[in-house]
Amino acid sequence: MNLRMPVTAAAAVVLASLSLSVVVQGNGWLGGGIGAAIVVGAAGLASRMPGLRFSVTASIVVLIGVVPLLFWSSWLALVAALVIVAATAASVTGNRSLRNFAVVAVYLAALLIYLNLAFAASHAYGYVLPSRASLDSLGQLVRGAFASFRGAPPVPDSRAVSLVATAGIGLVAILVDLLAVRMRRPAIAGLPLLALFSVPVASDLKTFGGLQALTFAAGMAGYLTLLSTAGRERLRMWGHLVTFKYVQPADEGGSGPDTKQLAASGRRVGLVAVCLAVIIPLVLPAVRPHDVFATASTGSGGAAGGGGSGSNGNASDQLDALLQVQQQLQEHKPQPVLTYTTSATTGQYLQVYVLNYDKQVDNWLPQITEGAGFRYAVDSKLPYLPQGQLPSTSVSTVATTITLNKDQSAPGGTGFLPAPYAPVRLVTGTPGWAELPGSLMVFNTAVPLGGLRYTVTSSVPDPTAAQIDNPPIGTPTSIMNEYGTYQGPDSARLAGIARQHTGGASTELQAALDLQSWFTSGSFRYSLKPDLPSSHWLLTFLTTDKRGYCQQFAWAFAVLARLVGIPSRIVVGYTGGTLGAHGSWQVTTADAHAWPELYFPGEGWLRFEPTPHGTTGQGTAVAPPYASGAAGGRLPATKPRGGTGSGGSAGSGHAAGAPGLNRFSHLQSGGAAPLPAVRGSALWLLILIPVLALLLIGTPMVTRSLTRRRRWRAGSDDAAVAAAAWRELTDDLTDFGLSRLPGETPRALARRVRRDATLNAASAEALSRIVAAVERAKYARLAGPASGLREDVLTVRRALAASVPARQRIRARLLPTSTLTAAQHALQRVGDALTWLDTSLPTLRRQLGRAEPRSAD
Amino acid sequence: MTDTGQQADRTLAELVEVAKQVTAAVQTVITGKPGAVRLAMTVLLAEGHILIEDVPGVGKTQLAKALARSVDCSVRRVQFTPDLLPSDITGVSAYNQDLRQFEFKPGPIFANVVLGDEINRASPKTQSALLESMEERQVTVDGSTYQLDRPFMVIATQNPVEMEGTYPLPEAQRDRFMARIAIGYPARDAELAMLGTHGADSPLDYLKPVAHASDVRALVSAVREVHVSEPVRQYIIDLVNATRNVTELRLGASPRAALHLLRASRAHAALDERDFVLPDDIQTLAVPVLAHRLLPSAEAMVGRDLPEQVLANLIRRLPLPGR
Repeated sequence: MNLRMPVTAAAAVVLASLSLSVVVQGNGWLGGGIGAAIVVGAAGLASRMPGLRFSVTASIVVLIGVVPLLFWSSWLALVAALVIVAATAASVTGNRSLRNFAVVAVYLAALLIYLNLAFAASHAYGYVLPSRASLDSLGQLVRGAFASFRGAPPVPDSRAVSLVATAGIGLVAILVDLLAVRMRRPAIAGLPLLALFSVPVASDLKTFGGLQALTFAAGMAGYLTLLSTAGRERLRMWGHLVTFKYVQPADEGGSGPDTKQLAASGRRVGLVAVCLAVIIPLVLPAVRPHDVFATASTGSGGAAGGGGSGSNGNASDQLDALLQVQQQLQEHKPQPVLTYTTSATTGQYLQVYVLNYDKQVDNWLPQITEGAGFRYAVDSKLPYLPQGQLPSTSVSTVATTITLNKDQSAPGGTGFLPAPYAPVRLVTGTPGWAELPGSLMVFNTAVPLGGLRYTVTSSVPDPTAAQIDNPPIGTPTSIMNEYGTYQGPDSARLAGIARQHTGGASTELQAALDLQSWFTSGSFRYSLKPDLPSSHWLLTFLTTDKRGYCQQFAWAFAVLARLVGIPSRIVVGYTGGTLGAHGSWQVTTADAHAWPELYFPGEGWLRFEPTPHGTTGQGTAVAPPYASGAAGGRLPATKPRGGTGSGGSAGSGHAAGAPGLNRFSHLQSGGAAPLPAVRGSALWLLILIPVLALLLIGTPMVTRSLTRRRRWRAGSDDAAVAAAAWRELTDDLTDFGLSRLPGETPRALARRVRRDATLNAASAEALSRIVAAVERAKYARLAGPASGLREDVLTVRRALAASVPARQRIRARLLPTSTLTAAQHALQRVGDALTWLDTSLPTLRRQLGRAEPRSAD
Repeated sequence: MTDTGQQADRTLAELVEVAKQVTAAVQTVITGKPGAVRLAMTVLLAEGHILIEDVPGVGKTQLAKALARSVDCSVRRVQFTPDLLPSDITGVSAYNQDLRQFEFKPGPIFANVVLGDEINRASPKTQSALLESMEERQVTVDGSTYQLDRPFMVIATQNPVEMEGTYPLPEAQRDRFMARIAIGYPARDAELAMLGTHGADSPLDYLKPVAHASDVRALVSAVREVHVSEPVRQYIIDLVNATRNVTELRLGASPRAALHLLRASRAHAALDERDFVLPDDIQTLAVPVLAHRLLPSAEAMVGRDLPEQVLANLIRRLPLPGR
């Protein structure tokens, strides 16, 4: 039995299903999908067995599949089951309708058995036979999956999501197998495959990036392979009986003409087409190459992974929260994220993720791992206490009521709640909220966050400098181990920098404040488009470039703090936003922010603000009281700093200006920075493009003229001069559209030129002289005298130029065709190389002992 | 052809004058067919044999006779018939009663120009007797070997093989002819002129020799000196190899064919008063020298791709060495 088509069809389905990887986080579902494709392929093979064997197999498979129906309480189900089995068994009669029914039944039953085995085996009879209980459990999983689909993608991978993905892939595989293998309509099989592609498109996924392009390319490759295999099969089955609906079993094993050569040509054509498709958009200025070589990280952006049912702990799979901040900050127009009212008089920084340094990937990543040990909230009370806070710690209790925007896809939109640190109580209308220890990130995997309204009560740290400097206890070792070390690149030099800027500090707080003031004192500039190298960027940022936005500042601050011995972490979330009407604070994507937190024993995690703020920095960022320089006295967070008493007045808690201004200053500073660069590059382009165009246009002409000079100069003796004259003449003729044919002798060429071009007597004689000299030089014992040949060539060229229309004359001068010969030779060589590849690859494969696909026939 | 090599051999120039006179003399008899006459001269100077294949009555015999008569040399004619025996060509040893010994009576092959008329009407046995002497230029009868005179040239005519009562020449024997030409029907004007000149009696009767056999021998040795450059030799080999590899041909050209092509191209160049061979000579001679040795493949026969067309295609496509 020929396995080539079924295997290709299954592979195409699996490759196409890769596009789901941008909407489902993790890759647990992929194994299920591959299994489904294999099972469906096997069912397809079974369905193409000859009469009796097929009927027996089909009856058994379908009988297993309808077992749950047999034990249903309703008699209707029993009858339906019996009818299905009977119809399948009756296909032995050869009735075409019955057989078609049986084929579809076999596919579906096989898929059901597979899903049952993979996802509900524990509820099944003997792990294999589906039962009512196992079907119920599958149904529950499906309902759970659809609940999680209500949020914005990507959805975290869970058993439920895996089941739905696997079932979907299995259904697509059935359609593809039916269309491509059974009905021999592989082109139409592209439609079900397209359904898989369109899942990410149809979803709310906002970021399309390199990963999607790659998965699409993989899917296309699978589809093209399917088409090509089908084409080869069609040729191979030439002369065999091929019916529309049913492939004769005998045909499948049939031998036919060898299609290797044809496939090789096909591959070459395909390769050229793909090369063109890749190169042309790169060359054409109007078509922007879309992230062809960009990293795939944007593809997974968009939301949180993990939580309840367990994402895998692979760091590279985790979301890059810092990248999300960047994306939000770079939105052309700030999108509203949430509004809140608070019992405090200042805006509250809203934490979403807490990041710790991962030296393996040299990045700060959220600590969302399977072993993180989250716990559910009980009666609105969040389970974990803030790390490091003692009963004696000075905190102020702040209640914040937050309303999330309905259609948000920002961080926090799919699981993690923005909340002021440290949350203690959470009041929402929905259950299922959990909290992670240490970071106190609050999440829920089942409830979509869009439009959610909730009240968080937080105990906001509110220490004085004296309290910080005189801790009652020391820093726990666990904190030091987890947050106190930095083993990333350039740690030695960075430690030097850290010491240099904290040299005068006597306390840890003072050291932190020194660092903060170094960043914010004006030597660093805020820019949303920092121009940093990809490696050793931190060093460049700190020493030479000194431009960046919150990501760089928070990162640098956290690293330097660790290097002077203070445990640190980075928090991603939002600044307090701007105060709007009725005491409600507005937070937009322009308020997305990352900031460092340092651990002080007895106080816990305290926020610092190294990012330049105000009109020249991140507009709504503000340093906390203990870190605002006025650290000597107690400055409770519940009172406006610089206390004018006008609690309701807008912006009193902000570093600078009116809220309206603040709100846009971020955008302005972000948007203004690239402008001069654009202007500069536009000017360069204005100069560069004409120069390049001139160069491009001039190259053939210059090449031609240089070649001409070189040739004449190289001609030392008569034979060489004659040879030069000949090459010049043939090139001139090529330029004027009279290129020499391969088998054409000098004499024959001259004859044709005299016939086709209207030459005057003088030039005709010159042509004869050239030909005579060339013939003697090439074929006689001794070359004849070659004097005057250069003039003769010139005469002929002028006569040729006079004989053609003006347009051709100009073209011959500006774009001489003869200069293309080198390019043609190069192309020829590429073609030869391809031929060599095509001919030597099968040999190589044979030598490696790998069986050709044909051997599977 | 304007190319007159200044350094051409003086002897060659003089001898070529003789060849021109012979050509002119032959053309008084065979009017309107300069190509055929020139090719016949080429073969004569290259010491080859020529096969004239055409329908009856177009002047095959006239050409042979005119050529023989223009040069003052012996010419014998053999009319090939199915009952012709090998000894009818080579000669027999007869018993001389006066001398009481066997005496060799030379056959018609002992001449400078032998006209084998309708050669494909004789049995293969007789054909091969002629062809062996063509190649070796000697005749062996009853153990004695007799050398043939020089120049020695066989002009064989044959009717197209489709005609009735013919034994087509085997490939091996066709290979021994340097060239095959088809004379073809004359143009209307030439035919009209022929009616005037040949109407009363044949101009062949008035044809006077314009050269001696010794002139021809000198010409033949001068032709051997014509230079064939390396690229032209390569071109010959390329061309011959191409006939062996092309799918339209079942049988390609033999190494002997390459040799014949080389010799003929020398003579062709000499007739142009050139002391070196051009690729043009090869291209001109390729069809007459090679075509009769090639066998088309079955597919080509179905497609009516005659070897002549295949050769013309090859010449057009085959690149010249050292373009």
